[in-house]
Amino acid sequence: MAVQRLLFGLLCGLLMTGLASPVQATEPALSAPHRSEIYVPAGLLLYASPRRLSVGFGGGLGYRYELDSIWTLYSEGRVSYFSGTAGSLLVGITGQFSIRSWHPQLGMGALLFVGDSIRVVSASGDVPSRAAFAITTRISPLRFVQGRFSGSALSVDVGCGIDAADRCGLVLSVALLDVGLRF
Amino acid sequence: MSVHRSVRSASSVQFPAFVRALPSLRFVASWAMTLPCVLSVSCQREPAFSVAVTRSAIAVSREVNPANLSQHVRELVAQREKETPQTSLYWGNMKLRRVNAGQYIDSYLSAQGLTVVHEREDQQGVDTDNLYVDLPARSGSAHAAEYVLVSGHYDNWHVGADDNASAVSVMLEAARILRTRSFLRTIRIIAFDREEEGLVGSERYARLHQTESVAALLNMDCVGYASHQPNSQSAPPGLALRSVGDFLAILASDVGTPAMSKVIRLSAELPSPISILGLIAPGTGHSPAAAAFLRSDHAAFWQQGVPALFLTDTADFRNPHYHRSSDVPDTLDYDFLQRSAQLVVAATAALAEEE
Repeated sequence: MAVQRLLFGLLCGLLMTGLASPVQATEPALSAPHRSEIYVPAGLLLYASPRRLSVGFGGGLGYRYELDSIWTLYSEGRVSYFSGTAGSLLVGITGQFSIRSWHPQLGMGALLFVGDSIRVVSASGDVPSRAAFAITTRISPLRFVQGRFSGSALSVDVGCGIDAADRCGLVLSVALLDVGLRF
Repeated sequence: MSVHRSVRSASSVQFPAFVRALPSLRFVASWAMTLPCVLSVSCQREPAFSVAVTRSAIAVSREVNPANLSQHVRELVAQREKETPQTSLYWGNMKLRRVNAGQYIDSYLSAQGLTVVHEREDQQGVDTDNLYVDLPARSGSAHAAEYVLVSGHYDNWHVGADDNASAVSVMLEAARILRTRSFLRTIRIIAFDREEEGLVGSERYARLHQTESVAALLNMDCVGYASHQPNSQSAPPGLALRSVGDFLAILASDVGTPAMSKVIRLSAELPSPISILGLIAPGTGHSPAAAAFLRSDHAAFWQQGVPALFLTDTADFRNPHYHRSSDVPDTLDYDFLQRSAQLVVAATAALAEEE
């Protein structure tokens, strides 16, 4: 039942994202020649809160959409392995500035963690679910764009895991490397 | 893209970039709207034992006699002190003691009118002697072929008051109390051999009995040491446990989660509840990150998908006497041991009686 509700929530998100698209299509055009980007991040994921611990290494697929020369929306999914198998879905917005091909980004987003972790059961016997949220800040100091290609090293999403009411957990998603194709 | 360009040329007013971005923020807003829906699954509440089963289990737990626990611990230690240590097969000059403790367990259980089974095996020069007794299910029970196992190892380094005379004392007290009752399921109390040398006894038992139906296993390893001092508790890297070592940890794999949740909720109902920390290892618990969770006899059962709970005071994450000659009876917290025993007896009764 819990999984069904989770899938329903994700489905709602996807559908509503689709509904948002026609509105985007009527907005003024932007100067950037390539507004969309598919990228492949690889790195580690840590979710350490009073309710769970998950550590993993892996990769995934991401999509960036440049609103203009500054703002970029991003969403990415990753799968990681170590303390079991876990997935993460990140969505957010970043701002950037550009000096030649250097395009460092800073932003914020939300992370949905789903999957295996070491879970801590409360004194009342309530079991943490396999899903957990976090609010994150994205820091991509080493991002470079050249023509249709982009590359980023050591891009960090660090934030607060909100699966426990009393304390903020440490959430860290590090993309050691991501490479992208812009179109 | 051509549509975008025509719109742009028709517009003579240039809004700031952030304002132009607002419609697209629906992308983010649409995801944000799903948060309450998904947050509703942040916790799941497993069902508890029924009221009747809980009441019955609480009544059984009241029969735990702290004097018996203390006597068992001291007697086991005394027996071990008399024993000539054997050099460990795997750990060099570490001295293993096991024979006298096994004899003590046998004689006590036999004196309770129980039939002790010795399951001996000798493979490649490594002999093991697992001891167990069965407390038969109620006659005519449809679940009589299902087992609730209560276990702990009886071999140890040095004299091993906490590791693992504490658990053996609880097993013996549970046998004394539960033998006078009958439940829907058969209760089997097992003393495993050669745990300290690589979980040899329990692996052999699990292999020999893998066709049997096991409803639950309660495995104990070190259940008698507590400290109320700040920072007396440590933990595996990255795991945020409480800093005061006054709780009993219960570990389960995924399949044992419902049983663990029930046992934790049952513990809160006991007259003298013990503070509990429950930990769930993902899958069968064999991921590298949960390696510290596999350090006792439940490991083979987790591998087989049995709902096995591991009860421990966390051993060397708390007890400075762990695997030292100073692990003697006077270092134990007998109130903590009594509460541990009450929980084990109540949980065993409830798991054996629950429909």
